[in-house]
Amino acid sequence: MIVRTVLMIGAALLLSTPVIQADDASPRPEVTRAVATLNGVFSPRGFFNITVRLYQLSGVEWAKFDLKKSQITLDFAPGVAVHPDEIQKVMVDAGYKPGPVRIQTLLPEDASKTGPGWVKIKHPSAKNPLLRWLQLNF
Amino acid sequence: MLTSFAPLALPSAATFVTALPVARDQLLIRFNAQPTFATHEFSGVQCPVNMGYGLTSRWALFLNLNQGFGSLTQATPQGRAELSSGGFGDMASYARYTLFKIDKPSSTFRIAPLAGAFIPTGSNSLTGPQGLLPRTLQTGSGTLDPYFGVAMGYNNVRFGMAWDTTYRHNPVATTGVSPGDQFRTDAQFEVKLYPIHMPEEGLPKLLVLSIESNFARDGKDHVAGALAANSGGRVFKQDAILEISTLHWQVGAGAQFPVLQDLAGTGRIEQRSTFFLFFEYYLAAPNWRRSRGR
Repeated sequence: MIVRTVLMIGAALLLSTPVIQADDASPRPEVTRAVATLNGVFSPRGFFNITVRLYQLSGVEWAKFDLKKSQITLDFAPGVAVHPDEIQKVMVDAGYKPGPVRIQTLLPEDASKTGPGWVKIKHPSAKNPLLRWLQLNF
Repeated sequence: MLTSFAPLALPSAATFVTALPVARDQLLIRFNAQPTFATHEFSGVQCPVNMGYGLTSRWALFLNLNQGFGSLTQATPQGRAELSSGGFGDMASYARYTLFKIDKPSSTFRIAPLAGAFIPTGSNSLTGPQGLLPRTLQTGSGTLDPYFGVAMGYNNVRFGMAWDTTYRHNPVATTGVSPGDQFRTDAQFEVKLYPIHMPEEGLPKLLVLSIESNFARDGKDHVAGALAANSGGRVFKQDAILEISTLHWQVGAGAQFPVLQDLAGTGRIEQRSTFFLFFEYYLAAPNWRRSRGR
């Protein structure tokens, strides 16, 4: 009886394994990464000028500023696509002349979310303008 | 005092704010503290607050609030007298338009004219026991003073420069002390000292050395509409400032040394070396255009 029970459990486990493997093999949404050259940004204040506009880009989650290269790297939420024009518009609105924008796709585990220079981008959602402003700044 | 010393605070660099970069929807606030100790018989502290708002990518609005306290020991026929005053000085409000800009991957250059006015929120008729206080203790000009000029800036990854020239026209008031017109020009050169080797990635905290020069030429004052002989002149100052700069704020401390003080008349108060502090914080301005901006 005991042997039969063990065999049944073993058979059930063996049968269930392919199901788990099938879940892992299903296509996962990729992360879009945009790398943009910023003409004329050579100070933290200049990067702040860009940061305050980034919240208006839907789906952007993390930004990394490279002062030496005058370059910004944006990682979007998995599955969110972006067009270079949208990023260039942010730069124009901030008062800078946009440089070339490279779009890459990465696996979620390859997206850099922490480390030197990475900043979490806030997306205030309150309807009240004052609350929205507080969410953005503090 | 508040009118004569206020220009030190007014004009990006540490000693002038006309060239401060401000982006659309950015709100910049700078708090300053400028004590003046034992300038012969004069001592005081100024705490100006500078605010900048980016209306568009080219238009920026500025508001400079001036407040402080000054104390003067003056010789009178009855002996030495302690005179003092404090409160709000004149408020400067002006708009700046970026007329010309060259943005490259390795550098940026801008020229921006500005125009506005000093609003008479201070007083030019403060009095003491012996009557009208001297100009150094008056907190305002008593009139709406047109203010205009031009600012210029250049920056690359290691160096930066800024320059401005401004003119403040002070109409003559029939009462109180009317300061003379002021022509002013300022220059700044800054170098990022730390990190010595800029990292390939990331945004490090920066230590910046800023060397600045300030030249001002003051016209003759008027007292109750009459020309004051003991007024006007030229002053040239040199400044050295250390700043720490991050993504959201900047803090700086500096020293100022008078190099030239060509003051017309006799018995004028000469400024001695002094120091100052400032803290600057950047905020995103309230975005009322949320639905349209998206």
